[in-house]
Amino acid sequence: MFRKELRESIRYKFLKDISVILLISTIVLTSVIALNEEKRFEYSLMTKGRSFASYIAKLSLDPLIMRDSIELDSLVNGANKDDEIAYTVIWDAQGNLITSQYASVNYMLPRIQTILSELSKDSEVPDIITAIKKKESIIELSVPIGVSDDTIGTVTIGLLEYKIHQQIASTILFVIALNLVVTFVLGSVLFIASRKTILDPISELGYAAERLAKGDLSTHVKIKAAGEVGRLVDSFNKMARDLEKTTVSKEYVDNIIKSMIDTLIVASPDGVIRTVNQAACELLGYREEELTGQPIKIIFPEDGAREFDEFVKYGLMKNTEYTYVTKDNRKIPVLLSSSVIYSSDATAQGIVCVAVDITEQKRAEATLKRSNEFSKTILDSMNDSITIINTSDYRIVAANRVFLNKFDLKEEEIIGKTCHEITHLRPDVCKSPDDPCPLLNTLETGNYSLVEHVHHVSHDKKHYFEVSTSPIKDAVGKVIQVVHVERDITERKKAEEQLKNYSEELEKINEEMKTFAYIVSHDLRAPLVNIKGFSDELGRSIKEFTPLLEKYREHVDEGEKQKTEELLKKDIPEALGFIGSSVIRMDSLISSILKLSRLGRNELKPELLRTEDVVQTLLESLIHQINMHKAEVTAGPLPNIIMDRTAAEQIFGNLLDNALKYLEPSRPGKIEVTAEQNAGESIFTIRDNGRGIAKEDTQKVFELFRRVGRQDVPGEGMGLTYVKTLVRRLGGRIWCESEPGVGSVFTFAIPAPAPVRVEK
Amino acid sequence: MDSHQQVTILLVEDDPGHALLIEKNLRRANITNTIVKLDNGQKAVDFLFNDKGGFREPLLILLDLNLPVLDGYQVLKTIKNNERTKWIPVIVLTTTDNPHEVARCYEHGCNLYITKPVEYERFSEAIQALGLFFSVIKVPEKE
Repeated sequence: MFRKELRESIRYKFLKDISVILLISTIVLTSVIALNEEKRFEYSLMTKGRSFASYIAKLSLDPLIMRDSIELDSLVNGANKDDEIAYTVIWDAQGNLITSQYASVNYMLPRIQTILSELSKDSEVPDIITAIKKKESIIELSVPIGVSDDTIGTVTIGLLEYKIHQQIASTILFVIALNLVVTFVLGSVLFIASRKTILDPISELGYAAERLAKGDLSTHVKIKAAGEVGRLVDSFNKMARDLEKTTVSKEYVDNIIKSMIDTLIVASPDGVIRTVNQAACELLGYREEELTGQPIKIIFPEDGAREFDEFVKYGLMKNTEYTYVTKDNRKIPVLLSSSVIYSSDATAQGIVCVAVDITEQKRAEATLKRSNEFSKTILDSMNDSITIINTSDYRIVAANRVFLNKFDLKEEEIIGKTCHEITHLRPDVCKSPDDPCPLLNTLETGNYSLVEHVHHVSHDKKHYFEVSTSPIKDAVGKVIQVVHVERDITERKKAEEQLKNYSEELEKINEEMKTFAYIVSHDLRAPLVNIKGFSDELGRSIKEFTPLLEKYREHVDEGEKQKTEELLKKDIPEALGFIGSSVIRMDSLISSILKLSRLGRNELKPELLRTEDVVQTLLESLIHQINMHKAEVTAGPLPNIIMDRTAAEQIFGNLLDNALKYLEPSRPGKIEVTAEQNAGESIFTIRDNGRGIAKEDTQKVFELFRRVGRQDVPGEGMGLTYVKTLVRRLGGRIWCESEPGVGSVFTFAIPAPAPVRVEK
Repeated sequence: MDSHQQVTILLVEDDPGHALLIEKNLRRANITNTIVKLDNGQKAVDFLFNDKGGFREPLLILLDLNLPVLDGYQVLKTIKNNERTKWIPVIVLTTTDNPHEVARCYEHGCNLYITKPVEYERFSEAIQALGLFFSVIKVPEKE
């Protein structure tokens, strides 16, 4: 298809014709030249031969008279050196061959050698010449030898024509080549020259005509051309323009109407529908034939139909919100434009109604309204005061209920005022560092900004506020407004201040307590050294005194002797014994207090602990007690913790030790260590089935030197106090749940931001 | 033993009971040196720097820490910061065994730190061992 088109295209034909003409002219030209050249070459060969023969004839005159055949041979032989001469022979007047065979024939030429090789060795010269003539085209020339009319012999030269043929062939080849080049160049020049002026415009016109024929009336040929082609193009364009102006096909109009997105209904002046488009049918749910011919009032609501009559009277109606009724009686809000068409004599021809469905628009409006109300409700329900502020001029564009109440102003009193004049009672913008403006920060960074401000609630009342601004950006990301949120933190500030004071005071008390405990325990010890020292000294003295007393014992009676014996051996040592043991007890209590007071000062070195390993090691060290109580101790999966190792060992150690110590001997002991990970806490539980603790004592067990229940197990009453102090110091808490005769549960929780993993 | 006889022991102790017990035990360990008892830190400083009350160096000082007027640390510092007295061996003998205090005393240049145990037997042993220590200690002599 395409090839056929190509073969028929004007350019192809033009090119083909040029080629054929040039080819024919080449052939003719070549033939003429070839013929002409042959004659020329032949003539020049003969001229050459003749002058050559004449020359030999002249030179051979004397040797011929003398019959000097050697001289003649050498003459002929010399002539035969030319490669255009096949043979040169000299005859006498009687026609006898004078020159010898070898001198006469040009043996040097390969062509002659080939001929000679086919003859017998003893062939005569005439035979050889005959054979050469048979094989080669020869021009033979004979020139007489003699003076004036007296002829004494003849020189005959055989000229070879093959050279002429060679020359002609090369000439023809040259001419053909030259012709081809000229043909190509000339053809190209012609083609290019004619393309711009003739070929392209004609092709373009051809295509344009085709488009025009297909109905594209906007067709226009843009090529500029002069002369006939130019006139043709101009005429074509003019014709196309005229056609475009004057011709609008019915189909064209129908297509426009069909493809309209807006609904179109044309009715006659008496209100009968004449034309409807696809969009109208789709919107109203009718088929086209169901509407045409029907009164237009069927698509209007009852009251709307009356209104419509007025529109018709009025003649023109633009973008009025109106209602259409569909086939299934749905009401559709539309934006209607209608116009009455008048004929040239001013009588109404029909009414055109164009309408757009605005259901979506209506719905969006409703949604927007709801959304605005929703936003306002949210803003008003916030306990912070919120305003929306323009970044360009600091003017408030909206404010919520809390803001209005706070300043006791109405919305219209605030809108349009600047933020600083309302909240700071100042005419200029807030400045850092006293009152950093968060709005400026947000404008600069495009992000949320939070600052603290002192705002003047009234002329004499200051409040602390936390003020934040969040950006509202336009379509290109420029911050045009900010949401300005103020939170009254005056109470919080006060509370923070108070908390800080309490905390400082507590720290001071704590420090005093530590010092106090230290001094007390230290100073209490000094008298103890004396009491113990001197009571022991007293014991020594009595020991030394006893033998001295022996001397006087004989002088006293038995009763007094008995009494002295009793005093020295029993009462005094007994009293000294009590003094001594009490001092030791007192010292141990003082040591405990000292130890507790030091606990608050020890540096804790938190490290990652594999809790299960810590507990396992402790249980191994308690193996003796475990066996003694025939106890079964289980330690469930325990989370790893970050804690001071010694603290962890002491906490678990004391709790396990206690659990073992207070097991009920009458039943096999059972102790469980379990744990759970709570939000931010690791919680460890040590549960035993021991003797248990009375409910009212579960708090007391943690108090210093306080021991509850049966006092049949040795102990200082220090362990749990120690544990509690440690757990508290780690920021945790500890408590006890117990039932007498059933068992006790000690639980402690320490802060753990997240479950800790230990790499194996 | 002759050279040791010349060493005077300066006992700075505010508790007379303790002072007596220390002296008794030193004597029990056959220490016959002169023992000068002072009951506050100021008196010790005065004794060393102003009025030696007829006592000649060399000295050996037994020092308590809880002392009125000037406490043991101040006395220790004064002794160890003075070119003339810093050679005198100072043995701190006190009731507390707080590691911080022990460290602090050694920092200030004390030569030995001994705790007074409440148990008298151990106290007695400690002082007697100290007496034994005196018999081998070489105290620098100053002309």
